[in-house]
Amino acid sequence: MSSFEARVRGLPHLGIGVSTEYGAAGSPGSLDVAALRRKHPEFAGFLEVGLETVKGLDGPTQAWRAAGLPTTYHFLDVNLDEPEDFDAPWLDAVRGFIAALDPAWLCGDAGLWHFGPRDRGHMLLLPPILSDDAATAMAEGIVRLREETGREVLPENPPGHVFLGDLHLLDFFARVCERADTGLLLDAAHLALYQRTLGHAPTTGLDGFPLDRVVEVHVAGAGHAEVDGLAIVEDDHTPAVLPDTWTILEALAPRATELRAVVFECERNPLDDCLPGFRRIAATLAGSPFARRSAP
Amino acid sequence: MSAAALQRVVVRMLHDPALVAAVYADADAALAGEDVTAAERAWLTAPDPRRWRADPMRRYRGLQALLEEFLVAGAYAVRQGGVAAVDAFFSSPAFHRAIQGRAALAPTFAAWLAATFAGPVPAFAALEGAIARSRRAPAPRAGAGPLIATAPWIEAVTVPGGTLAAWQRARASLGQAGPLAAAVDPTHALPAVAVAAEAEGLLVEPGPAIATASPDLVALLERLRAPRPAGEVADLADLGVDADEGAELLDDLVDDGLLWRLPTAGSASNT
Repeated sequence: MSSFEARVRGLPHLGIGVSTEYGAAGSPGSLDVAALRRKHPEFAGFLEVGLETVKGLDGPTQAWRAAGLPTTYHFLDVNLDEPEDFDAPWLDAVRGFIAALDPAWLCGDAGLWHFGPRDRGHMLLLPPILSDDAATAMAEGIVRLREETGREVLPENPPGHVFLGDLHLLDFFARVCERADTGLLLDAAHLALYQRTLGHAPTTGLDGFPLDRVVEVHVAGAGHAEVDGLAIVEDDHTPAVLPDTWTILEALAPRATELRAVVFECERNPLDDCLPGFRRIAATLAGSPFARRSAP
Repeated sequence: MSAAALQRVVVRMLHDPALVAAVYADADAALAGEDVTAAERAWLTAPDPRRWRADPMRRYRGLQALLEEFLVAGAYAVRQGGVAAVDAFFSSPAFHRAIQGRAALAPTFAAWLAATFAGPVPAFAALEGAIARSRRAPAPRAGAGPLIATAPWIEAVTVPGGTLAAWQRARASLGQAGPLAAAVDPTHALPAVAVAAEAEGLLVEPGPAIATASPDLVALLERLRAPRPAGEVADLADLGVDADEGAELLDDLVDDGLLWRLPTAGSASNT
């Protein structure tokens, strides 16, 4: 297996795209990805398919793929740091979906997608323990999934309300990337939540982070809530993007030299409500290495 | 210590405010016996404790998922102690042991229901537990080899006589539209349950399809849950079957899909 530095050169440039998961398109007022592709193809360069193997692909996703349009495979059901999670039936199902989607790569939150064995009622999403041994276990899982599927596997920093460990989240993922020799899906909205939760500035830790490992970026909105007087922020995929998230995107844009794909996660919102977000993403990335690669 | 063990403590705390309170009050005492270092205990109490309650619906979602599989047992349990008594599962030692041991919740919940509630709940929990296992079983398929075992898609349970008929009446009373709401509504009347003293064998096949069976057949299927050489199994004298009849009986049970043949013991789990 060649190095990430060599492998990343073979990854396609996907541009700006959108995400979906099973049934999302059927929700009232949700984003019509086919209409987005027709009216604003510059914001629908690819479809990131959130996939839980027991649910499969919904109709709109199958139609997108039948049209020969690009995809990425965002897993929703594997704990990368648990070797027992790579069971044969799950791997067979993943290979089947890869054959159906022909995704540019696999990606997904590198956290706890389920407690206990993978089973109904066990699903959730928690961030990893931010420690050195957890980074090693996560890296081993990424390498294994890459070898089992023959596709790049990009870990994503998950959202959360409780983060435990002695590492900053970006230091944790820097170690994961180095040990797995992989790229990263940096979710700017999740990072903004983490920084707020820990009382950091939005860009704390970005200076020392190897941004040339960032292959994909997520941007999404967030909502405010309160728990017994404590203000918290929820990653809710609305078009209302936090100022902190834009700050993070602005900071990484010039330095993310290998950035290939940016997703605006707004799958359950009407197209017109999402357009300002798409336009601001494009404007923020203007002049960046990503934009230069996007130029015709 | 592994991060996995600490992560499981996190899952337990996210489901159980009582554990959160205990850990913040005295982490050493609350986590005695767990493979969590002093530093990691300090990590657990570093966040504002209100952050553990950031998702107030988490526990309800968990309860809903369990009750969807244990509708009838859950309904009768609710009639005995209210929804709170069933929700208490998430603060029970059984729940915490299951999470820390990476066990499945459905069988844990079935066992907890049976141990916690009286009347028909244990029998209904046994039947619905078998249905839950059947739902997760591999699809029926042909097998070949020198070993013989109960087919992994077959569940066999022994319950008090009349359990199946009582369960079917209770399930019908909950209706098809919104049965969960009916199950947790204490004003929704449930049929009275009368069960016999003698045992009733039940077989659950994928679907689920549920049928009564003789206790001897259930005993045989339980005996063959672990694969054994077919020649050894043919002696079923204790079940009143001689060796010649036994071999024929085993063939019939394979043909019926209740038993299957396999090359090695390990292949039983290779589904």
